[in-house]
Amino acid sequence: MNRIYILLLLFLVVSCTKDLELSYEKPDQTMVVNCLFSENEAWKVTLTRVKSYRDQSDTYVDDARVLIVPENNDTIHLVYFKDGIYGSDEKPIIGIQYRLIIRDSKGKTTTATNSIPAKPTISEITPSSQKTTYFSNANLSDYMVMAVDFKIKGTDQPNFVRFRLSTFNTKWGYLRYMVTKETISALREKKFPEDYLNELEKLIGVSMSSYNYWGIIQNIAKKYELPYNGDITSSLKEIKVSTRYDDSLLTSTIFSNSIGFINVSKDIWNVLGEFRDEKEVSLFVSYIPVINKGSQTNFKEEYWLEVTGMSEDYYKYQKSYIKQVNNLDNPFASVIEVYSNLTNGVGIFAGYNRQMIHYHDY
Amino acid sequence: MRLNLFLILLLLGFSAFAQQRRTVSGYIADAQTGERLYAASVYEQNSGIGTISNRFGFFSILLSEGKAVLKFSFVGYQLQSKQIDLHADTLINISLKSDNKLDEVIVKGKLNNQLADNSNLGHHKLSAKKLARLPSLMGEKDVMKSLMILPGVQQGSEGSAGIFVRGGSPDQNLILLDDVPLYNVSHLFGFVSVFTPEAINSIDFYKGGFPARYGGRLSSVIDLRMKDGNKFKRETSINLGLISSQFTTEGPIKKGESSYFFSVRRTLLDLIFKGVAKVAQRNMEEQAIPSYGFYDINGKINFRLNEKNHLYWSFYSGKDNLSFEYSDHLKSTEKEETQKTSGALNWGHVMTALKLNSQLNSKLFVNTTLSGSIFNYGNLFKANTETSVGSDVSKSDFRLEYQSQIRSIALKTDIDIYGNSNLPFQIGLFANVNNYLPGKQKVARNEGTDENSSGEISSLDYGVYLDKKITLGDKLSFTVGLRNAFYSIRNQKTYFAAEPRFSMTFRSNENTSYQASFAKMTQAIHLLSNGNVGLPTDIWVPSTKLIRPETSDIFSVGMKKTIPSGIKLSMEAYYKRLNHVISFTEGDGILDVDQNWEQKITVGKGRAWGLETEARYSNSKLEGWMGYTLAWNDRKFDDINKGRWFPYQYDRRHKFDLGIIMKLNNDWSASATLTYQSGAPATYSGLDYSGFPNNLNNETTDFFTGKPINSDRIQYYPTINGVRLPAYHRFDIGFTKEWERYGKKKALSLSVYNVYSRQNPFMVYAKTKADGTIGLKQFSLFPVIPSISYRISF
Repeated sequence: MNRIYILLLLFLVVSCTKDLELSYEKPDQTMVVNCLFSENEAWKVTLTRVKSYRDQSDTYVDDARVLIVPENNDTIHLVYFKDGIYGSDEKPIIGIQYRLIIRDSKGKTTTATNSIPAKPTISEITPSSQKTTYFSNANLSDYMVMAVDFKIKGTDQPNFVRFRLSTFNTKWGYLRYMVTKETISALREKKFPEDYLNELEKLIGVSMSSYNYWGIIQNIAKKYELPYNGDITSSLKEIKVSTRYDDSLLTSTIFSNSIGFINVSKDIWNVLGEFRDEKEVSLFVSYIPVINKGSQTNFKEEYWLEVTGMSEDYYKYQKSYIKQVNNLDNPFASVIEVYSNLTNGVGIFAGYNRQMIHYHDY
Repeated sequence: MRLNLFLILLLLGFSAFAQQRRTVSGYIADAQTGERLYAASVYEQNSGIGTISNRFGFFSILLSEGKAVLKFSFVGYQLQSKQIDLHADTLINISLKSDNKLDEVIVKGKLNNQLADNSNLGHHKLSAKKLARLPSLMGEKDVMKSLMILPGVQQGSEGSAGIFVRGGSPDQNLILLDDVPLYNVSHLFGFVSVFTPEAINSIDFYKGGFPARYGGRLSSVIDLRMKDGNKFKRETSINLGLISSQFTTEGPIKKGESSYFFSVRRTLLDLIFKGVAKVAQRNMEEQAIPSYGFYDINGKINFRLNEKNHLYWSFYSGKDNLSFEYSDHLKSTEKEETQKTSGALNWGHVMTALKLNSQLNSKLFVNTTLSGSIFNYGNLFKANTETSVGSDVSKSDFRLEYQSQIRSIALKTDIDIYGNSNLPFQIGLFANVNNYLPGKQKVARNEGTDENSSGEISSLDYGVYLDKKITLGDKLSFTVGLRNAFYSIRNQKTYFAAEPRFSMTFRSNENTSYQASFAKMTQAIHLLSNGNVGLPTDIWVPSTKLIRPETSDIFSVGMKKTIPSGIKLSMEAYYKRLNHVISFTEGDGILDVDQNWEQKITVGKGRAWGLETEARYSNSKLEGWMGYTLAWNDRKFDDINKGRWFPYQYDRRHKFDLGIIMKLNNDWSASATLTYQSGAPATYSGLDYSGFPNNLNNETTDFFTGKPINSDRIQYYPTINGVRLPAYHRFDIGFTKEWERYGKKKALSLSVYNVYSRQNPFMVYAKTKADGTIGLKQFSLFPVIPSISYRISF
């Protein structure tokens, strides 16, 4: 009788989870194309292949024939550089339809067509300094924001646009750090391991922003199990520059409650919109930099609005990607396929037209 | 419209060729309880003329003047004969005695040759008796789960009471309780249906060949009748189970004429959860108290107004409530903080129906139903924090309320006109007013209050149906029907749907029949669902100007044969075409309904086809069945799977069922069921590719040049639902002892669910393994589960 009880107990405590070995879809050598093109940027197309999560190897495609066919001009033959990148000195022109044709070594052809959309016309930008609260329905959270209102001009075609916000701190943004030979010598004198110094030497001459240099240096130190040491950071060279490097601009939260302009899913970094007629748009941008600045007067917080005119394909591509990422942590949600405009491939071949608008300083 | 006129003329025409004779009409009821019997047969021995009783036990048969021998029968009841000398229209009420034998699932009244196989292909009838003998999960007999043993009916996730019929989704099942549609019929997140088995008298299940009186859903009809209550004797029963307990009482108001029925079922889980949590945490600063409970109340009263008029009043109310309370108290030298958080999720139905049966004359029976129902889903979340620093006290309050609701009022009249035929010409009129509130949310914080609502949408559905069974000689019979419905969405659009129904039966001999049917169905209500778990958070929305009603065309052909050993074989092939089906593409979760919800929907089509076979045997001590279904079920949406067909989430290639119910002796009966179905399709590719769609939290492109500087990994799915999860199979056994002592009826049920503890997949999710690779983990719910329940009636 006892055996029966033991068996019964064993059944009941059987773990309710187990690993599954499903017959995954095999990597099918699908061509992956990445080409987001804009005015004044030479053609660059990156080709890779779909691969398994478990596959850590590179899947660059280096033997394809890549052509760009403008609707009214001669075909552009792209040449292979490295790491799956094919390029040309020629630059796309706004309004022209371009057809991408890729023939791989097995004769399979991948194609897509797209063009650069018109630059969105923004006018009557009215920033506010008033702090307010924006409640995100998707995140069920309050964000400290301030409004910026403007008009966006309509056209006789559907328009797709993305807004993002960046801030630039004139005190820290112009400050950069660099590893120099002197840095290495100083650390060697302090008996830092040679392996570590050899790794650090690779960074000589690399200009790092004041926001991320510490993280980069610490990551290398961590790799060699070195505890935090002020000697490392103090040995770096501090440089003052007059250029706003991209890594010194901080992306900030941005929201919209204007009809047709949305934050997709739980995303708080992009406002995407579709419109045809002229629109009045209200965006709500982060107030945190203003708080951090407080009453200090020795620097400014510059507010930059990034306004990108997107082709419809690019718009769908980004929107679906945001949805995919947001759904990954929801076991009940259906999977989201990221949009692609490629025939016989995945990825994107799409034009965009971006402008940076420095609209206010705080 | 021409087709409609033709069908009406056809229906009326076939009723007009009969001779002048005498009518015998009346009601057939259970002798012990007075419950009226639906589909009991009436058969005149000499002429072979017969008919069957309608849903209210009424029959009308036209016979030649003179002596007649009428035989009344119903499965599970003793045959009764009555001799009459017929010279005028006659009214007879018959009471049949139960023979206390095992009954069968498929309705096959022992009628005359014309009716021996009713031509409603895909119609199954299940009795409460049968339900009581099937093994169950944790002792909970379940109406919906009992349907899963039928071919063509599939189960959703493990334990779920949601069913999927011939490639349809759960919202495509029309579930009627005393003629009132219910929406969410699940308790405990789908593990138990809302139907208290003790309150249900009969279940009619249609998966094809739909009579024209049913409409509004695409895939199946589950028509449940509540018990009327015993008209002769008062009976009270108490049922104690592991998940819930029930109290039922019924009895006469006026003996033999009017009766009442009342039952209440309640889970005890909430008391257990709360009690255990409170005791375990009684001295803790931090407390978390969960609770879950549900209840169902069923009531019915029926009054005999006079010999020809009967009034029924039905009532149902059921609710689930899931809640938690959390509190914490933090104290340091600098500050003191008290946090209180609570949440509640509740959903449920209230419905009531008033029904008047009128026998206007021996050839005209009218049933009029006025009903109302409310389905409500809501949740409430509250968080309060009080912080004291010295003498400064600050408070933070957060309150979130969410509500989704459907309110309906319906009026319908069903008329059975017997005319000069023994088979009634059925005509009906119906009108429903529905108010939908897909979602309304209110968030209140210290900073203010935000309200967001999808807005309320009203609709009026109205129309007419006609149905007529026609016999041509002994071997051929047809049922021809037409349902015309208007779906009018207030301030938006009116859709018209003409739904022809047709079925035919050809009996080649006493034991073999061939059948075919066609039905067009329209559904003007849609379920936006994020998964297949059957959560109450799934949202019902109506058709709108932008979203057309869904439609289906269902074709089926079949054969039924009884072989000499008494085994009944059936085989049915079907093809179902679905149009304007919708899918919720966003997958953004429960609190995301707003005025733009129509933009988050993609519209597509579906197709399902398959072959269902069944062998069934029953005698007075044994009933056994074996069923196999081979099926395909696909969907196609422009925005999904690159616009190509893909297997629907409920696609199961094979389904096999084996079952037996056996009477061991006078007291004991045993049952066993084995079920197998192919694994569910799922989308897990394990593949990805690099891209630059702009990472969400980090700038990944050069700020001024736009050049990509980092790459994201994009999940790649070569095909949607391209992977199959492991197959589902399970073996259950049950024993029931029924005995009577000191005038009290007692029943003890013992069940073992999932005897060999099969780990069936409930949910599969990706998880990073120790070696950094991503693997899949399967989560299963129920290992072997023994259970016991006890019922006493007095």
